[in-house]
Amino acid sequence: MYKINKKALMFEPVLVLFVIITLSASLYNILISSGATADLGASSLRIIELDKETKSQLELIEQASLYQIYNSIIKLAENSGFNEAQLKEKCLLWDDFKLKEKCHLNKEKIRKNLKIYLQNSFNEYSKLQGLGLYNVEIKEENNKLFFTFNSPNIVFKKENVEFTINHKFTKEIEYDLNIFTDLYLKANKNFPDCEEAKQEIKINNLICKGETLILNFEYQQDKFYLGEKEKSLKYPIQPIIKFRTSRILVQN
Amino acid sequence: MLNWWLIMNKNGALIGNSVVLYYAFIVLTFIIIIFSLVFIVLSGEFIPGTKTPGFFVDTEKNIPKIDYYDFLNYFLYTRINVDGKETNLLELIPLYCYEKKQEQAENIRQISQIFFPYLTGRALSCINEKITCKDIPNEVNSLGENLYFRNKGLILFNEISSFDLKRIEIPGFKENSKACLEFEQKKYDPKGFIDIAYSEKEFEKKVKEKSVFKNIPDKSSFLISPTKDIWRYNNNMWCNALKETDSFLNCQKGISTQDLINCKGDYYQLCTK
Repeated sequence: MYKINKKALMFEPVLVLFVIITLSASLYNILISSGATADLGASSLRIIELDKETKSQLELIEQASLYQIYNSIIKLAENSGFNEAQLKEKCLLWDDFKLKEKCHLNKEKIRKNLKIYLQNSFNEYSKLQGLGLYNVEIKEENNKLFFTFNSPNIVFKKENVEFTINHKFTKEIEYDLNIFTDLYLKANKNFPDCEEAKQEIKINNLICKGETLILNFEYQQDKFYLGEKEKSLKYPIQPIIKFRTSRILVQN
Repeated sequence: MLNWWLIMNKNGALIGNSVVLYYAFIVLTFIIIIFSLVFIVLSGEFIPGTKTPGFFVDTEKNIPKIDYYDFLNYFLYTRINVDGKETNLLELIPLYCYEKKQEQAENIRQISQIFFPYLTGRALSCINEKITCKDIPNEVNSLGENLYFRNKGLILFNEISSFDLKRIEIPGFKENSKACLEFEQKKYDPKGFIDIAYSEKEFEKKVKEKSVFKNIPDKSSFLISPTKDIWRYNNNMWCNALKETDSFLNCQKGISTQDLINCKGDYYQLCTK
């Protein structure tokens, strides 16, 4: 028979007991912290979800910006190139500037007016979508217009996840703003054919209708394309530059 | 009777004989059985493959379904040829909401039927420019059908049958041309997306692959050609899915595999001449 150390004798049962206590404590810990474990994967996925949601929303707003550009040009054309402030000043005829300086139009003013229409309508839309305000810049190059939209610090938030991004993008369309100034200059040097006509006449894309004191003009332009020219669908609304002049132009 | 003293030396360490091994196995098996039983009971998995409510939280419920956005991109942005013009649903939907032409509505319904997996709840309605999708009350009846889309708005389709829905607002051209798209948040498998061929060579290869099988699974029978025409292989022929199919998208008339390869999938220019 061995002579056994009494302290050593306790080692094995204590070891087994220790393992059981440790495993039980771990199990208990898992059970009481189940809420936290359930959130572990979900919270990282929530970041990915917000990222995808943000991208999707921004892509849609970029698509919407193209429609807003077309609508702003259409509105500018409908309002003879004047902005809403000029219309409030009762700038109605293209030769009104001879009486009111504020009604004068030139290339720079037309571009500025387009910017005002676009910025207002686009920001109204982005506000509805819960996004911030955008600043719009317009540049011209070879009959093309480049619209740069910029909104710093747009906040996207979902539960405990928050993103702040600087959203800047550019849209390019084929459009020649010079058509406004060309017509404007022409309108201030008389339209002899129209003045003499007793009924509506059409000269190329220009329709003219004489009234008692004024002449009404409509310059019909080609519809915009939603994508690549010819291959894609057309924007359903046609831009028509509407303008009026006095039947007898006021001489300078 | 086995005694503790017999398996230990005088320092209390285990003696390396077979009895020790048996002891170790017995104790380990005992611990494994007890703890496995406890875990099985608490996790609620009594029968493999089935789940009963257990003490552990079902984490799947809390995981956001992010496939939704991949499907949304595929659904809205995939380029397709409609009546000879290259477009996508992001353009077609507001165009219909603005012009309200019946044939446009039919095209949208058909394209949606092709893109959506079977039995997926979905609804699409044109909405006023001044409201947003979020403003629409989220009233759903006991069958999971959306009451708003049933009773209000200009509806393109309404096949909602789920309570787990997400809404997306599709930008419009002008007044009343915005739309609200609502569809089920579930797992969308990219394998169920329609095949797209970007080059003539790829198109030829895919046409040949699909033509080998008589009954290929439904979504695999579609193919978008480089000219963006949607083709379907069905009843041993290839047909234009928007022009030559019935309401179940089965081919009513069509062309052979070789003819489709010869005309390079260009429905409007080469295949119909």
